[in-house]
Amino acid sequence: MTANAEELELKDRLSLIESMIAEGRRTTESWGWTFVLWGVAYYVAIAWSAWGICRTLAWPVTMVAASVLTGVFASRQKRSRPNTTLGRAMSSIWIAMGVSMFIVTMCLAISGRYDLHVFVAIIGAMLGMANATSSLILKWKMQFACAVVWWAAAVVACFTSEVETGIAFLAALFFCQIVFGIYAMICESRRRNQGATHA
Amino acid sequence: MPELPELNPVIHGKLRLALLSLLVGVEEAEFTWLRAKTGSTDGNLGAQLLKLEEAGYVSVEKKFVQRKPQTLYRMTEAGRAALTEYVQALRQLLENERKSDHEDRDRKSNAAYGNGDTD
Repeated sequence: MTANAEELELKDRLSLIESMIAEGRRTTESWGWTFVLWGVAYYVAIAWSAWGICRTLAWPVTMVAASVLTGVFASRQKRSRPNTTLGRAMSSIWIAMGVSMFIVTMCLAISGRYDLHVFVAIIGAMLGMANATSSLILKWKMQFACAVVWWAAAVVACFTSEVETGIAFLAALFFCQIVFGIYAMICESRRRNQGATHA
Repeated sequence: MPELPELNPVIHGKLRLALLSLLVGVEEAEFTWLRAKTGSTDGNLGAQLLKLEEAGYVSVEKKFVQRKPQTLYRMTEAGRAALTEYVQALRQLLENERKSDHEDRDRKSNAAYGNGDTD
């Protein structure tokens, strides 16, 4: 083999390593759908608690149903994708936030100290924290914008009327769950369509 | 002249190198995922993974998930170290190739100007 051909082969090996490492890292879990699912769940809970029957059950039932659906879909998705440290870090943040939010809102509801201002302030602060943490790890500016919107909704809830707080919450839900979720799903499908590099 | 590093023959195989490079970025991966990413056949992939397993570079775990068999592969510490060594050796070899290329070019240009290997 000539020196030039040997050099080409070595370079080929190096680029194979780089492309395969990139391919492994690109296989992060797809989580865009969870944003949409939870956004829809919040809207269903709000609508049910405002106009439905057995209104006290609206939030607990919807939240538990959304958790079960997330668990089922996530476990199906996990079967076809490998575990990554990044994926585990991401899911840990969101699971911890979900459990915290569930405990606090449940206790507030049971104790009768439930109030829309407190509810939106807590949800806004917690979702802001989780979105900000994820965005800083993933270096994703769009998600950080969502964190800012949630924090803004939390601040609005502390200072404004009940109607304004409700509007801020619905708007934050729409932009940070539905719009961002769809945007994340589009990004993920684009990334998948970039295609696998074959060895 | 410094001695040139040797490339680890277990890792140097194209498919085995691709497999180790894929596994270095994930905690564990299923056989089917590795097959999809490398575009290899079941038989070839199994054989190459077995070689890596025998060398102690990957560990394998077989289990049943909802009555379906699942084979998970993980990179071992030895595999990680071997891949790092391989990349370093590869870089050194490329650096040496580059240096010898430069030397050849310099020698040729010196010869062209008539002040080359005259002494």
